[in-house]
Amino acid sequence: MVVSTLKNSLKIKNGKFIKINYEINNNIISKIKYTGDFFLYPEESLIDLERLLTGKKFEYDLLKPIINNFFNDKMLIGVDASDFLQLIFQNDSKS
Amino acid sequence: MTDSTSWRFIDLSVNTCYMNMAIDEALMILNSKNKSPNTLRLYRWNPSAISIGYFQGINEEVNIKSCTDSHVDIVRRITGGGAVYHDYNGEITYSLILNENNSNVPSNVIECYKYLCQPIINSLNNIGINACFQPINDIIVNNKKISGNAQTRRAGVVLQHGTILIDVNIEKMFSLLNVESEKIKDKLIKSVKKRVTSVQAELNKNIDFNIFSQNLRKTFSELFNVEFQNQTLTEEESNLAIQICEKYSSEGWLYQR
Repeated sequence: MVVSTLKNSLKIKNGKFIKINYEINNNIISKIKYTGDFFLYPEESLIDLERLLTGKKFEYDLLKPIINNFFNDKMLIGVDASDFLQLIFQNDSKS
Repeated sequence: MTDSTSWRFIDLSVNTCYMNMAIDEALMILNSKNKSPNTLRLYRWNPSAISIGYFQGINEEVNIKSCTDSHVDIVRRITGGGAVYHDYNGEITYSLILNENNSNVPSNVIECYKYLCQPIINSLNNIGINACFQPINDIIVNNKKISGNAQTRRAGVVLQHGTILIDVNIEKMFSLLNVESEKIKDKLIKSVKKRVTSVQAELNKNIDFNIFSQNLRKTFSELFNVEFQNQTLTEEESNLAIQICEKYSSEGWLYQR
């Protein structure tokens, strides 16, 4: 079994910070949490995105439409939907 | 000339961080049910406290041990944005609770920040500080931040709260917040000193909290063409705030991220 604990962060120019902590277990996202000083309305919805991504394969083409569709009816300030995707695939290994 | 409308003004009061956040949320909920008027509220925090944005990781942002040792409380806000140190002697916080149907708040969020920050900018101008708005949500003086603001919208109500730095101690602030690397802490403090200012630093003298509060009341009234009624919380608002306060002081809420 291969488990990778990963983290990454981005500072958006003229925008906000966004960070990610997540685990990939046998090519499946087993844990994922976004943090940062961005704004998202409604705020409570972020946990829904994290639930949607948990259990999904670590595949760009699979996760991209999930993230884009999720933010279709939400308002994001200081970061974009693409930043949530980019953070998953450009990571620094923590352990 | 249009008739001015009536809003409530709740003058500078002092509460714990949990109660301050609970009152803002209670007013928002009751305003959405037409049980609470549009309100400008001014407040301070005792004990001094760190508030973190809704999405921030507490362990990433806050030096919890240092806060405990310094008797500084920590609360997670209902709004996004960054961590703020609310020093009892160093800042005034305001909140605006406005119904989208009977106030002129812009629907565009960035425009709304700019619109609602303008009276604060005018208040600073009135005392000789040349402040201006900097998107997304800051007020600056010579490229230095003097006020940070955060906004949320629920059920047709805008809540914007923000801080006005009266006297800032960067070293104290950084002893309470986490920095990615201790090695860069000194460098970061120097850098932040170039990017953060306060009323005291700009005027080189102390100002009276109550006088500045009346200045804020006046500029909000003039710019938004509203008559303020000086009132306190209703019994219903106080009771709801006491209920909501339990959430803000719970570990489940604070440590959710």
